[in-house]
Amino acid sequence: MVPSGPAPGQSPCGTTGRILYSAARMPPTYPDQSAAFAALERRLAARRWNALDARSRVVFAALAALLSGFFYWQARVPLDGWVRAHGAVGGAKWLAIAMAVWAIAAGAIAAWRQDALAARVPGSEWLALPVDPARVMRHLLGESRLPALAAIPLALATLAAGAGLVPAWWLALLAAGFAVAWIECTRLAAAAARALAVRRSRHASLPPAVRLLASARRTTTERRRPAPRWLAEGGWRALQHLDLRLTRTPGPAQARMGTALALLGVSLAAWFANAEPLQRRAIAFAAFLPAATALGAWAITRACGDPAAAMRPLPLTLKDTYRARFTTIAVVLGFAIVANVAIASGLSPALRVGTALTWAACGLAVAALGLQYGLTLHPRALAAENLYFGWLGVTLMASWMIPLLGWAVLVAGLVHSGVRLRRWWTSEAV
Amino acid sequence: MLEISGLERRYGARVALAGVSFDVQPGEIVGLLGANGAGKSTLLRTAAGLQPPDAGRVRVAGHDVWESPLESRRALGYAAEEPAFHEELSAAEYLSFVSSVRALEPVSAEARMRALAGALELGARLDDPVRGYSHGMRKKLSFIAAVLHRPQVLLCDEALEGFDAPSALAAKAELRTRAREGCAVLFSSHVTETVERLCDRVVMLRHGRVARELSRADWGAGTEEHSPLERAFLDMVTEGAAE
Repeated sequence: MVPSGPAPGQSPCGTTGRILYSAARMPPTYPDQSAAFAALERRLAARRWNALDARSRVVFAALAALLSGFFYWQARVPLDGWVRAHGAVGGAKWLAIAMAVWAIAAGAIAAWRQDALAARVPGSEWLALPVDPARVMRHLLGESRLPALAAIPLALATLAAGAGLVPAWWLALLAAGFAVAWIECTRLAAAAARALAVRRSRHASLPPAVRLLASARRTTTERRRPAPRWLAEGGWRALQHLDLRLTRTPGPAQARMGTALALLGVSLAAWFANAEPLQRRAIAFAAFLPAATALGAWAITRACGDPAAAMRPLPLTLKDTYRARFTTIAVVLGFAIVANVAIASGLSPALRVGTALTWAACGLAVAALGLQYGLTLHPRALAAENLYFGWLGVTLMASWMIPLLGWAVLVAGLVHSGVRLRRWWTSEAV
Repeated sequence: MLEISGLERRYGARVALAGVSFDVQPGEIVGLLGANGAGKSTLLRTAAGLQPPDAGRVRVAGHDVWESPLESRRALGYAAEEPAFHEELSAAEYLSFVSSVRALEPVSAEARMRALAGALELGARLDDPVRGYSHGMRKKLSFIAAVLHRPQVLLCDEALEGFDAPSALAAKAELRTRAREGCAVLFSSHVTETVERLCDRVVMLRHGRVARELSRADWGAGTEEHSPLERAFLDMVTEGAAE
């Protein structure tokens, strides 16, 4: 005889009535997972350190030293004048404000990083583990603080500028205050970014941490793409068309190209400003240069965004990949320069030619630097961007310190990244 | 058509390939069998030019993969074990790019793409962004990209894994057609039944070395429990464990 199942309304244990408890009403208790997360974070740190080869470590250390030296010098001179005018107390106040600015900058970096992590965190994988989601959020907070560490040596370099001008114990006090401010600013800014990300996410009934994890990296139903045109271009032309297609699609490539085009628009608008012709040219150049930088960032996005398994078996050479991106950059900058020179009212023909040549050399060199780092660090876009922006930062500071030194630094960067180009053939991260 | 000689590859201290040598003739489908970690994917990735060898060489249609990369890649098709694409693009956009890079005649390339996608039951999703694709659909897309240009040498790394039954049948039919037209196919799989039915010859890898090479006639008889090739494969693995 087959035993009958429980009657309707009766539980398998024989009790009648409703379910006695709801899992949703009883928050689960998790064992202490601090040790596991600490081990994970140690392994992550070791892996990141090992991912940098010896040469990259030297380059990053040199960049940090140069930037610190720059901020030390930039702070030392005005602080000296300020202490002469307002005394040591005034100098301490000046340094306190500078420390506050650095702490706020660190907070902004942490918020930006938290926002990016919230969108990319492997939510399903975390939720599948018996891990407290709030603990995952604390882990993400730590991760978002990592890039904000860059503010610390720069802030300390600024603080060191007060040596001999402000009493040492005040400097120690300011350093301690900066440490607290850094911790609090990064914590609050990351929390604010996370709260915004939670508000954007779905599943309003869930606790915030679960809500964020459940919404991250969700595959959305997307509209069908328009049917492509079938062409037989071969090599770099086909790759250039692919770049343009990807740039027309919402994503990082489009954002970077959009920024470049907007800045080039600003550089054109500068010629209509109510100023002397040479001042107008300076304003236009101030917009043109970041535009070229954004084009370099676009090149990094595109160079690092090509999946190796799909691209490497294709008959494409380093020359093709370089030419496809460089041609696009040259065309965009070329149009911008011609347009700028054409509407450059008040400049003599000789000055216009000089402007065109200088801007072309500078713009192409800046953007090519990004392209070369993108090609040689494929597929590590973040590492390529760090190196690119770091090198441009040093170039900019060198230009301010000694005329034409910036050019030397930029050319050195091009040579450095150019020597690395042969790595494109032997990319090990594929 | 595909010549692999003395191929060596290490990952740090671990030896993935230790002097692998064999070749695949035109019109031949050669199966590549081996336990997990035997070096199958490393061999195929190295042969496809995705990673350089530490020693040895690979020649595709007479061209060295690292000395004449352009010529060898023109003759090569590669279906990856873990395919990756530009996630924002549709399959049709990606395949049109592949066709354009290879300078295929556009009208016939598009027609072939539609025929292959139809046979692999991907036709209705060709214009959807790849980021919404399942694992099986990605594998199908990788397979289509690999065979679109009718390559002279085709490297398939677990190419049929994740395919549904009708698609797997269509893909095997396409592989046989490629072979009939003179393509040299190197086909890696964990599924011995598929290799047994599809391949003319089998190369078995163990610890990064060629442990056995068997032609169809060498497989011998199977047992009640195992097919002939499965029996041979298990023998090879057992020998390896005994060494």
